[in-house]
Amino acid sequence: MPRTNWMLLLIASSAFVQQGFAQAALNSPPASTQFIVCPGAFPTDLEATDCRYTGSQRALDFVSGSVTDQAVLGAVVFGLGAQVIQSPSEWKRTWDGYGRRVGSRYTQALGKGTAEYLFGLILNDDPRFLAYRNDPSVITRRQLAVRALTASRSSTTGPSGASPSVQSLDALSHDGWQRFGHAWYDVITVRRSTTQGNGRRIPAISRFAGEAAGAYAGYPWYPGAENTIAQVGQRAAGAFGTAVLSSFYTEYKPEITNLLGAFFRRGRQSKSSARSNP
Amino acid sequence: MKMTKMTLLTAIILPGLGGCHVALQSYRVQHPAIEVSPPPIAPAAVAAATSPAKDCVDPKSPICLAFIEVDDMGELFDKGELDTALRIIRQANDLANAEPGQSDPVVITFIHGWKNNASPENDNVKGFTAALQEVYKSFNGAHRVIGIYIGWRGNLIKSYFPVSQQFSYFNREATATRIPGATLSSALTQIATRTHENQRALAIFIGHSFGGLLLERTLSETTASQIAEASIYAQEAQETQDSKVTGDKALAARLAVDSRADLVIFINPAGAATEAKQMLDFLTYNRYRYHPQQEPQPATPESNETERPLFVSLTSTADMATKVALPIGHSLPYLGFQSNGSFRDLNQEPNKKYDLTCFDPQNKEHAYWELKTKEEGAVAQGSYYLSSAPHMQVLQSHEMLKSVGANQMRVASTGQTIQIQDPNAIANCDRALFNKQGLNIVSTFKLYDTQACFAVQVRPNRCNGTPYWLMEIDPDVVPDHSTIFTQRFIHFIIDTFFAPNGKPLQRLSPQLTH
Repeated sequence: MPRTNWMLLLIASSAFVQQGFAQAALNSPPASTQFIVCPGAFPTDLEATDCRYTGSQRALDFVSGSVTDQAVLGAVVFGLGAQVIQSPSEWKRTWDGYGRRVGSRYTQALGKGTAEYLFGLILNDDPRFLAYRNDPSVITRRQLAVRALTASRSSTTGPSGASPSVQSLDALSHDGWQRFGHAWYDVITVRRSTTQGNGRRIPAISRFAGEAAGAYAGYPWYPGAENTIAQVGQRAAGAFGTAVLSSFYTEYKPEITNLLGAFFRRGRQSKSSARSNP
Repeated sequence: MKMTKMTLLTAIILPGLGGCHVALQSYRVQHPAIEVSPPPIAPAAVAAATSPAKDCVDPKSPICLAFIEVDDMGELFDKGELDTALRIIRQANDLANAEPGQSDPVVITFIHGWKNNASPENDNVKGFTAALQEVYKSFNGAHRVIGIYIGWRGNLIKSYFPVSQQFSYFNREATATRIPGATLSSALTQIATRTHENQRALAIFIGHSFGGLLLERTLSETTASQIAEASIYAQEAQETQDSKVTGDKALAARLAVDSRADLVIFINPAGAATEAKQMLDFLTYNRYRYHPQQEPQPATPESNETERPLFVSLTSTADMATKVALPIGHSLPYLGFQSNGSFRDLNQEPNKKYDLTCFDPQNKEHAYWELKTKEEGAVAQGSYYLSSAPHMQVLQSHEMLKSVGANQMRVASTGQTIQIQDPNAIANCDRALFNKQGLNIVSTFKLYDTQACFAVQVRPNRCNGTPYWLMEIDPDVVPDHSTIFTQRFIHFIIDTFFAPNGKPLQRLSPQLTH
């Protein structure tokens, strides 16, 4: 019953947020044909001419994320964490226990990836996360603002730098709450894979299926006490949390980049030398 | 049951690990040069237009792409590839010289970086091909464009093994350091010399990421020698009374100039700043300036548009690979060097002297001075090893400004904002209006897709005023380490370095003076 409520909540919130973005898209003009902007790709990227999430890309993401070294490393590291806190408690802190912890995590990753891959393949979805500024509907609104700016420039002769269009451009770049909301929206929905990259938003069935499959994949490994619905739900919630983190990282990558960049910067020009050498 | 699980796991992992290497091979020996179709009107068709690979044999082909491939030891896979590239350049030059109306070629040589190679499916190959089309289109087809893609084994591990691929960083960095040698150095010299058989043709070298490191190491010695030779011959030609000797020396100087590229661009270079530091010191100690031959008068602070770069090193402020991964990757070797006492600290004792010498001909107080202490901005030698050159503010010669609002510009490297007095300067992206405020703007450009105005400014109080320009650029122009084949970036390069202030593209034949 709690699971049903959870699913209903997800679908309802998905529909609500989707409606907001659909409204934004309705108010926007058709996308510019000047160049293709693939979702998540940099504007005017000459390599991003085909926005489809292709079969080979899907296979690469599946194999690299759920089968090979990345999956093994994830299992080894998170298995070590579980070893430290001795979870599940039935497995002792021995090599055998560690092996089970690593094996169960690897199996879960494999199960999750396989389900995601298969469901994604059937639904032909594009599960790649997008930052708010890269969302096709936001890009369309930006293009509208640019066109309005160009139009206002051509119709006025005086300084037109402070036109409403400039403000709307700035607003599109610095919209805190919409970015936050979009990060959540992107977790619970995916786009249909299309050449233009503006595929219809659908509930992230492949992601949910992957999380559920990953959680259930632990069944053969875990002791009986860990195989309750509640425990499986916890494991699925953990996987969902990872997806939320990924989405938020995608959204706030520029800020994280700046923070890390400031930390690692070397060879700053000193203020004293700047003053002494005009 | 346990055995079954273990066997299953091993069966999955082992075969994968066994075949994770990308083979050491050439990809282009059979077809060392291909035609690239002229750009279509809609960029959407770019990918489709590049798919059929047709050998470039017709000298009238508007765009050609040649490949030169080297192995892990820096040897050519097939000398025929280099010969083909040189033949294409010669044919284009012959055509331009023989038939009036035929366009002068622009020869762009590109060296890719980590995780790339010359295979037809490679993203850098596709991106470079599209970039050549964009360059052709930018000059309205007025120039024949020849691309030379220098391929090496930048990708050691297949993408199916992302963690192992990341750990190939050290191995590939060592390879990018090992490859430069007589083979590649002579190949680049031949490309430049062959290009300049037509005095109006342009030779441009570009290196990205480890390709930047590779290019810098390949060029440093030869370019320094060419510069030194050219300036000595030019000086002797001026000093001697004998007209024949004057002619000979002038010719030798011109040949030395012709054997180097007109511009070398490093994009997000993944080499330590210690690589650039030697060239910067060479240019600083000799007080070299670089300005067009057509301008006999040396540049004055008021007319800095005549100052041109010989090297340009650009990096995005959002390039985490060089900003974060490089310092982390270099930290272990750094500790080794440090424990061996290989790095020099800032010191003023005569036998251990280490500081930073600055040269800026535009500085009104002094053109040549030294930064001796940390407070003045000097850093110990080890710091150069832990950063790429354009990320170091003390080495930066220029800054990129971006409009934020109607009357503010933001400095990409520092985040500092500058109030602009005349809003028309931003609205029209007008260099002259910016400079009325004394901002010392070298060039401006506008992103045509967002209409945002950008400006390249001479860095105030800079230490580096040499023809080796270094600057950090805004993520709106280059968003990260790898995304470089974009219309935005190509137009920034063209507007800033090739068509400054609206002048048509021409070889400036700049001259180094000191």
